[in-house]
Amino acid sequence: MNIEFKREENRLTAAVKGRIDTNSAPDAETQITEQLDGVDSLVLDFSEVDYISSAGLRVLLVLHKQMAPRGGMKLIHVNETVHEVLDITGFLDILDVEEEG
Amino acid sequence: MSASPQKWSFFERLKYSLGPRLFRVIFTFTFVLSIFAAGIGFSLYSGAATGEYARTTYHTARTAWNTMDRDLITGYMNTVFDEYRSFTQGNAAPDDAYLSKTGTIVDENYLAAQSYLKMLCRSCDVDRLYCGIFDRANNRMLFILDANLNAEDQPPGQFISFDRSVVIDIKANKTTNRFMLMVDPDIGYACSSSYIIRNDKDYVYAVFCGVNLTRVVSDSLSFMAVFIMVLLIVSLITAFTFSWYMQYKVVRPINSLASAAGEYSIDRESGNIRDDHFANINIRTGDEIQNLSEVLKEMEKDVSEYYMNMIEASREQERLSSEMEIAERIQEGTLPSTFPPFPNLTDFFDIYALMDPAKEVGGDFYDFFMLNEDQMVFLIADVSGKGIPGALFMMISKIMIFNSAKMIGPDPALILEAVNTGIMENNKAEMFVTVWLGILDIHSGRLIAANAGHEYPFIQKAGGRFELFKDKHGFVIGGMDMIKYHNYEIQLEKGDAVYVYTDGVPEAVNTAGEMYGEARIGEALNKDPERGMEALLKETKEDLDEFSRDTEQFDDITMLGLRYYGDTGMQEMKTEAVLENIPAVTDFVDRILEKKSCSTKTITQINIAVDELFSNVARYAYKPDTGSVTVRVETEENPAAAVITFIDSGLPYNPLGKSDPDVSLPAEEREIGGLGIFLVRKMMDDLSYEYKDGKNILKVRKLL
Repeated sequence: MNIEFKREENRLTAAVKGRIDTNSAPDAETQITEQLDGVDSLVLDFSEVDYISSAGLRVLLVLHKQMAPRGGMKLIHVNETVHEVLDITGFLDILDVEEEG
Repeated sequence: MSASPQKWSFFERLKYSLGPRLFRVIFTFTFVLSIFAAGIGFSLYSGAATGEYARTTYHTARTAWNTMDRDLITGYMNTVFDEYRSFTQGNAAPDDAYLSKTGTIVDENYLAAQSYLKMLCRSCDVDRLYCGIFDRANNRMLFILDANLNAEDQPPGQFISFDRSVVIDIKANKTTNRFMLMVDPDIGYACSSSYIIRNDKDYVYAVFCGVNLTRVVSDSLSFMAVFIMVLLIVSLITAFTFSWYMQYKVVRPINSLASAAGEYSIDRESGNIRDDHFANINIRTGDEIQNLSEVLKEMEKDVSEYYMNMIEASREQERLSSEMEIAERIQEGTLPSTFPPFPNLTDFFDIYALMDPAKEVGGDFYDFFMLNEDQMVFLIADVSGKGIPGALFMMISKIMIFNSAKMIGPDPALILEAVNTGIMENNKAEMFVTVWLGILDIHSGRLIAANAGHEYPFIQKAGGRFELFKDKHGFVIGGMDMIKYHNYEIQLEKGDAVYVYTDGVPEAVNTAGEMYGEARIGEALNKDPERGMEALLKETKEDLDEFSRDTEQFDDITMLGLRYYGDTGMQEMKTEAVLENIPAVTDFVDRILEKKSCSTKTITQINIAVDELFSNVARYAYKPDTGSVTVRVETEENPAAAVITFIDSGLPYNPLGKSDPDVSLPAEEREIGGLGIFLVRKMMDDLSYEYKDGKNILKVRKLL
């Protein structure tokens, strides 16, 4: 997994590539959290994410809790599998997920 | 066995040894010859002696008659004869009356004549002289005038009966004066002669003279005794001399040759190699025996040299044969002989092979190896030569096939072409090899094969019979450059089998000269086509052995059999239960699933499940230590499904025991724990846990 960041003013876009699983999730959390200073809008581009496991969900929840008071977090380009996981776990109800296509 | 010289005791030596035997023969011969000569000598001697006595007595008798008063004597004769005639009374002995009548003739003249005769006896060295008349009709000697030196004189008129045989001459009416041998009634054995005065028809008037032969005989006997003694001594000396000579010239040299020969054979047996047994004998007899010893000397040298060469050659032979043995072991070692060869793949296929070389090292070989995790190469081959050259060529071929397969990958035709090119480059021995090579995809059952001049394989399909499969043959490897081979494909289904063999199988002959042939192979295989490969091959080989019993095997016999079981799908990996191993486990599972036609989504879901479940084990099972976990993947058909099982020996822990998290809570109240298992439960079709034999067994099933 790796992440590409794009900063536009106070808006941060993080494009994640690969799997967000038990091994990569802590790394993803650290990398993204480090970039959050002064960010009031976080966009996670999941177009290149293969799948996400519960460890990744935990990261999403942590980030969501951090960003909620500031201006929110948004997931874009979520694939079918990730969407299903979010759906099953009720994360679709919590997170702002942009529907694909 | 070598013969050593006879060991004789003293008496045996006397009996059998050449020296004493020669002595005995020579002694006997000389002695008998001497006795014979002595006999002749004695008879000559006694003849001469008798003749001498005969002459002496005759002459004495004649002398006596000629020197005496003939008228006086004649008068006495007539007087006594008259009395005798008148006394004729048959066989009656003379009586005193008769004798006193005849005694009247004794007077002075009579006595004088008597003493004259005695004197004559003494001077002529005879024992008796007497005048007498022999009565032929009655065999009587009638004494007239007797002069006896050794005994009492017979009185005139006395008469004595004579043994007939001793007076034969007189009886035969011979008138010549002859001596005769006779037993004189008074002096015993004697030689007597007669000088006949008058010879009537019935009466012979004569002077008789006798010599006592007892003396003569005893003289002769003592002479003979001395003579025999001398002969004996001479014989002994001759025999001793001659046998000593023989001993020295013949027996001793022969004995020394014999003992040298004996030592030679003893040394030979005890491995003590010398070539001077005969060289040390110094025989200087200058005859055939010396020649013999010289020849033996030379012969021993030659034999020893030959023997040493033989030993050298046999050592060389031994070395060669032990090298052959090592070569045999090396060759055996190159053929896979552990069955099953791939213990973790026994669910996919059953493979077995056997080889029975005709010589110590054979020209046949077989091989099988995994080309990669999914494809197995198996092959059988027959090299044109046997023995060492065949074995060397076999090794080269085998290694080339292996290397080419590893380099080229799953393309039998290309592999065979590469091997052909490699071998043709340097095939000085003009050898070739036939190869059947197949590559089996153990998951799909797809078999790709190519045939380089090898026997047709037998294929068994769908529980049926083994049938000869006439595949497309290419040319043998090593025969020609730039040969093209052709792949063909067979889809093996569950239970299908392949049987390949070398020409030693169909070409084995029985005592009637018939070949075993493909038909018999088919029959043997089809006795029970469903057998395990080991039994199938071994029993087919037994059938072949039975067929070709009592004939010599002149080709290697090699068989290889494979039965495909299909992809039962079970594979396992064992790894340490740490988070870092998640990618490896995921890869392992993915590789198996890739072969199943299932969607990316399904694979992703299974990946998530693996991530959740393995991380669970890694975090909690061995806490705070670590341990191992086994991940087993099984695939099922109808419906297609995958079953993944995690087995660890950690603390008993049932992750399914927790209740599902509430997924409808607002984010602020959300807990992240338990979500993983929840996800797995939702995405998989079945999830189960059991604790058994100290192991946590967690199983998920997902329809594909």
